[in-house]
Amino acid sequence: MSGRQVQGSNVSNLTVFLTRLKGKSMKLFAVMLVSLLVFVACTPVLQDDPFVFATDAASVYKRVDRSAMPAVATAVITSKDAYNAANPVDDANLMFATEIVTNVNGLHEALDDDLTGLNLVPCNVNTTDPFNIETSTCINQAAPLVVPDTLKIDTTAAAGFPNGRQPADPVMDVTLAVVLLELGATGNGQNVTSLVGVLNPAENDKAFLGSFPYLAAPHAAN
Amino acid sequence: MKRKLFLLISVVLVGLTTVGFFAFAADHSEAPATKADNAADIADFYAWHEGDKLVTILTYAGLQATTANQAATYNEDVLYTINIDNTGDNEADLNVNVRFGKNSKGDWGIQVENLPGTSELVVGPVETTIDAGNGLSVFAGLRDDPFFFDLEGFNETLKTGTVSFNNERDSVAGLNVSSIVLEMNLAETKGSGDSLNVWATSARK
Repeated sequence: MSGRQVQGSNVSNLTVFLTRLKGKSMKLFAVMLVSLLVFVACTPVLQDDPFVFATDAASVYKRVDRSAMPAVATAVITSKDAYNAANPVDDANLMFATEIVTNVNGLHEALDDDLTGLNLVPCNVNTTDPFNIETSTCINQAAPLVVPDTLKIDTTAAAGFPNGRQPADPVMDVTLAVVLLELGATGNGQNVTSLVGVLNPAENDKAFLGSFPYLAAPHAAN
Repeated sequence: MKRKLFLLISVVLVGLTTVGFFAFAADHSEAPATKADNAADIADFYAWHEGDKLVTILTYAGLQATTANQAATYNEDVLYTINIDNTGDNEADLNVNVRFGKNSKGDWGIQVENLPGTSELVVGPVETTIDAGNGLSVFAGLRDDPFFFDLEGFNETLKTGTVSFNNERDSVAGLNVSSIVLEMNLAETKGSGDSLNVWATSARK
């Protein structure tokens, strides 16, 4: 074999090397070894094993669910499939206004006597003119909270539901207060926190982390 | 003797190469999971501003009871989107898209597209705090379900027309949920004003 450096491609060097091997088995062995090495070198999957994600544009996907204000869809929406397919701009255009008003009025019909019995002052519902927000304090209070169904964030004010939503915020009791109680001047000092810890637990079963990722570690199996 | 050894090694190498090729060509998409719809079922959505960040948490596939070898739910065909309106017209101005995908070993990873404050796709394994750059973090994984609510009391109230809540009953206690936790640069989310309207959507292809 010549000691001279052979200038040129690696492939040609390899070819020269292979042709000079003695014996069929030796050549077979070398060819297999080389092909395996080439495969390893050229296949990204074996090099660094990347995650593979769908590349379809967002517009290709079909809507399944939407969520923002807690419990709105559960408590005051009847047409749940239509609601999930719709968007906040539809809410703002009053697409679901009728059923929201109907369901809020329905809640009051059932619960106002209970609330009074609990020494709470329910907000006023005008059953003959339910969309008249002047005379329907419940709708006047509830509408800005639930329509449109978005979390509204004023970045110049302190965070805390309903200014955004943090994990520890007692959102259900706050929402129920806004929908059920008289929060204005005639409400006997009631405010958005009047039901916190009264109807529902005031806090989560596990303490939140206070820093990223904020949610507590999962419960382990027993 | 030498000849037989070389032949044996050759056969092994051919075998490895063949297996390697098949693994590479294998279809990465798994069989439809039994929780296919569960993956797109949003449980709760949280969003708040903190310092120079906007934090959003999307929980889905909720009310998951504890089991040995438990894990969050991941599906390659679902798209989770954080929609941000920063002009006050209730139309999204920013769409942060989250997808899940697997590597050849079947490990799940998360991909975040359009995360405000980053200029590239954020990609990394699940159950890991991922450094998205610019001081931002991304996480996806199984967590304690953060919701606390007397659901039984609520349903009883609706059914009977009598207030039936019990403030010592948390229907979500002891249960887990799948979560997507994103930090965004607050300044990059804002448009003309200081207010944001944020909501979460899920979709399937």
